[in-house]
Amino acid sequence: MSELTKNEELILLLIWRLKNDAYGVPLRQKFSEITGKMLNYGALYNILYQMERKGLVISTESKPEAKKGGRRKILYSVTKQGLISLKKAQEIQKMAWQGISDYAFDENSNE
Amino acid sequence: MNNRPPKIAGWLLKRLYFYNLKYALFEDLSEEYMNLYESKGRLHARLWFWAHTTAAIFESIKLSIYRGIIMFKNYLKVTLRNILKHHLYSLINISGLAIGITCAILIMLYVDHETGYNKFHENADNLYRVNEYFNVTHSVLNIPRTVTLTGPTLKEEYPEIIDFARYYYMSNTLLSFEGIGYYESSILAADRSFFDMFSFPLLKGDVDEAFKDPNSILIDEDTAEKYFGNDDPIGKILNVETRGSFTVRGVLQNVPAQSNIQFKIVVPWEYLKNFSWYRERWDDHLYYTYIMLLENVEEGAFEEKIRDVFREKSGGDNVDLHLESLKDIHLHSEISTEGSNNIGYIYFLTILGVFILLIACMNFMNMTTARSSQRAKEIGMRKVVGGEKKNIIIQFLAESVFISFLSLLVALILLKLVLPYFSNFTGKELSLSLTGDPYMFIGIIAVSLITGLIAGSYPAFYLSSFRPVTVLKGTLKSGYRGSLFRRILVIFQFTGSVILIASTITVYSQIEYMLAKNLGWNKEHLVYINFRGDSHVYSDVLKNELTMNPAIRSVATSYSDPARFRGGTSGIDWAGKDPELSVNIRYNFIDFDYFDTVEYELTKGRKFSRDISTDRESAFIVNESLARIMGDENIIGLDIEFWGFIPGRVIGVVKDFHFNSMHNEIQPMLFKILNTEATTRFAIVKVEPAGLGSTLEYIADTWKKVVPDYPLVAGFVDEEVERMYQDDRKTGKMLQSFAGLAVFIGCMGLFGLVSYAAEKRKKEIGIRKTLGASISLVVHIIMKEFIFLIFIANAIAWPAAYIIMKNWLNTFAYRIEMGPAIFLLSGLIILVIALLTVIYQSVKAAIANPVDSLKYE
Repeated sequence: MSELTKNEELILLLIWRLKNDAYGVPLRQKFSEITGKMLNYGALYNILYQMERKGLVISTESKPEAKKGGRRKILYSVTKQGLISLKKAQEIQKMAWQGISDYAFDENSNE
Repeated sequence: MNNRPPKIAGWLLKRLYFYNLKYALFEDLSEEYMNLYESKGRLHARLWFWAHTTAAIFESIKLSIYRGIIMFKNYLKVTLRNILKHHLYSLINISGLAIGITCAILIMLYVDHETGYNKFHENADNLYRVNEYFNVTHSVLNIPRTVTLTGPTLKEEYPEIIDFARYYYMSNTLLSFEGIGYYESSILAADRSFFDMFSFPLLKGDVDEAFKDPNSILIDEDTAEKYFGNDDPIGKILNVETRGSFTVRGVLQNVPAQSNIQFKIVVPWEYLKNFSWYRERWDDHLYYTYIMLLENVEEGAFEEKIRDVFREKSGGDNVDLHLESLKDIHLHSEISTEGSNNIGYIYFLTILGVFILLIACMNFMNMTTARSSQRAKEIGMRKVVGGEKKNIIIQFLAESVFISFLSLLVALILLKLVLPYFSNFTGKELSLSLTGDPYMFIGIIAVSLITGLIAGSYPAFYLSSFRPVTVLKGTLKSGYRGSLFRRILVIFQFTGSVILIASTITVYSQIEYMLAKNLGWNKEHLVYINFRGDSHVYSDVLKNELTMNPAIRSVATSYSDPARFRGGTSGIDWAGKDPELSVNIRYNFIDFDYFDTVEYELTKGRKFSRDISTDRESAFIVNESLARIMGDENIIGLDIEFWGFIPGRVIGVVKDFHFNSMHNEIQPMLFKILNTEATTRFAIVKVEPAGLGSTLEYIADTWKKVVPDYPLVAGFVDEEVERMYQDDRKTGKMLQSFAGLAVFIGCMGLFGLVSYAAEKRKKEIGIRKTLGASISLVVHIIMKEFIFLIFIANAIAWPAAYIIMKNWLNTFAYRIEMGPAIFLLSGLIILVIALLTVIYQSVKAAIANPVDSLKYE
């Protein structure tokens, strides 16, 4: 199985965190909060589309909201497959960072 | 206030966004739009919405392209895997298609070349040749030339004509520079306007300057190099035999191969006025004349107008004037002239090319459908895991297109190898430059693409319609529908092959027939010597010298050689002739030894005799055809007037003989002893077959001794006769090679099919063998089916070939009858070749050890 890209990993994590409210708008907001980068909707949905094809996430349609003009949402949730991928990504992350202290990149660390 | 997002953007999004997420996307965008609308205002929100819509559409396009590439890579991978896995079939498919594409491209190049004639002239659309149609009885006489006065008269009387240009092919002329001379046969004497109307550019010099002096000469690059090497030719002097000299005033670009007007040298029209025979009158139909019409003049209507001009002006010959567009001259001409071609031939070749390509395509279809059960499992699996029918069709089309492009690569290499031979064979400079000619490039790509699509279409739709359940349960037999289709294809292939073989045999038998047919004279061991320029003054001395050699049986001199009668005229009158009757006859002026040298047979009367004094001046011999027209009974002694001023009597009738190609009927002919009417142009030498080499040497030595200033021009008469059938031979060779290829491709397909059939019945054969069936029985079982198909193919092919070849044979006045032998032979050939193919495969299956095929049961 191919590895997750950085963006995929982030979105997958966000879906997992947002639990029952994981749909387009909050996903995009959270993404830019964390990374400081703006992601346009087209790119976001491309990522979601690809991940769904790979079986990492699954989408369900919510019931319309009770309030006036309430909308239907496409809610995403992480599949088992997705969780395995996330775990693997985390492990790679850990392995790669192992033995490097948090202060290693401080400005005076070279002294 | 309207707080809905912009409608157009929403609509665009729904139309152009590819994935089924557009609903979710749109809702998300709307939600944020509303938030922005409240916090930042309408304009900001709208701009934002538009920006994101556009971005989303772009992203979706990007993704679909990316997925397309991935899909393509996947198709390619499966294709390559299939090609390698079934390498025997792939080899047959690819080589068959490659040969088919090679043939198609060769024919495409040839057709492209032939249809491109005369198009390089800027005024090509408005140029017309003036042709003459003689109203004569007993033969058709249409010539592409007219008289000197036609051009100027037409221009004067019809304002529709912008200009006219005449040219005249000068007879062989010996030109020399500083003692080195060559015979030049492509010299035109042309009007100044020739260079305005046609696009024959000058590389050096000036046309106006040149045409001021009748002794100017314009030569092409090749000729310039031949005489002057790298020196500047301008201003150099070329000597003309004993008659003076020309000054080189210009260098012409070599005339393109795709021009019907071919020449190497041009001299001004004024030069012709030096000759005593040049007259400006309504006679001497020797001059090619072209006119240039105004843009909007309608050809047909204008042709009507000028039709009677000649008759009205001349009061002489009964001639209609006709126009022929320059663009039509090469392929559509009603007058056969040198170098012209027939549009029928082009159509025939095009059909042949398409046919061979079709045969190759059919091989491909055959093999793929035949192997369908092998691939059925793959298709079943694909369907079960969610492969749509569309994807499977695309997969198969992609495979066949890929294979056809692979074949194209092989074909391009093949082309590189065979093109020189093909050019040589057709006598046309053909070359394939993919980069230089975008149309050719697109054409070739299109041919391969279409080939791939056609070849893949049937398998694609046939295989994609399999139902996964039957396939995976293993109950699928390659169905009746599939095998019927395969049978039809095999029949088609073999029908075509039999037609081609039968045609080839017919063409060759006709050529054999023409060469072997008794001509009515003896063409063997005859050498002709051509007296060019003024060399004829030595003819008597030469004849005396030659007859002294015992290896030379006889020598005759004449105006024309026996293989080509130059002279044609309607100037003949006889006692009791119907004044309405106009007869065109061929004539030759000969000496007393001519009849014995070429061995004409006489049916009535006697030959010319030296001992009878009137024979020299006033005796004629006619052939049977002319005798029939004049009235057979009292032919001997009939009074004749030739050319209006040579009276005489018929003393004999010669048996009809062939002198030109057997496409034509034997024409009426007349002989007279050469006196003062014309010049001696030929010596005809009958040599002993023994010691031919030294005799020829003797002839050459004697010529050098007797005729000092002129190079010897000589040859064998029988070779001249054979040359008349060159075109027919080419047709024969062309048919032969294409027939060979068609049979070869067809057999490759058969080979593949039989090996498949044997493979499929491996178990049956194994069981039969364990139960005691002999090898020959097994072979018989496999062959039965294919022999049946070949019989059907023959049954269709024979009548078709008969009709086609009957049409071809009708172009000959003297032709063979097509007997059953031709058809039986071609049927037999195809049967033997097919059987060899089938037997090889079926024997292989039959001698296989049944243990191998049955051990897994």
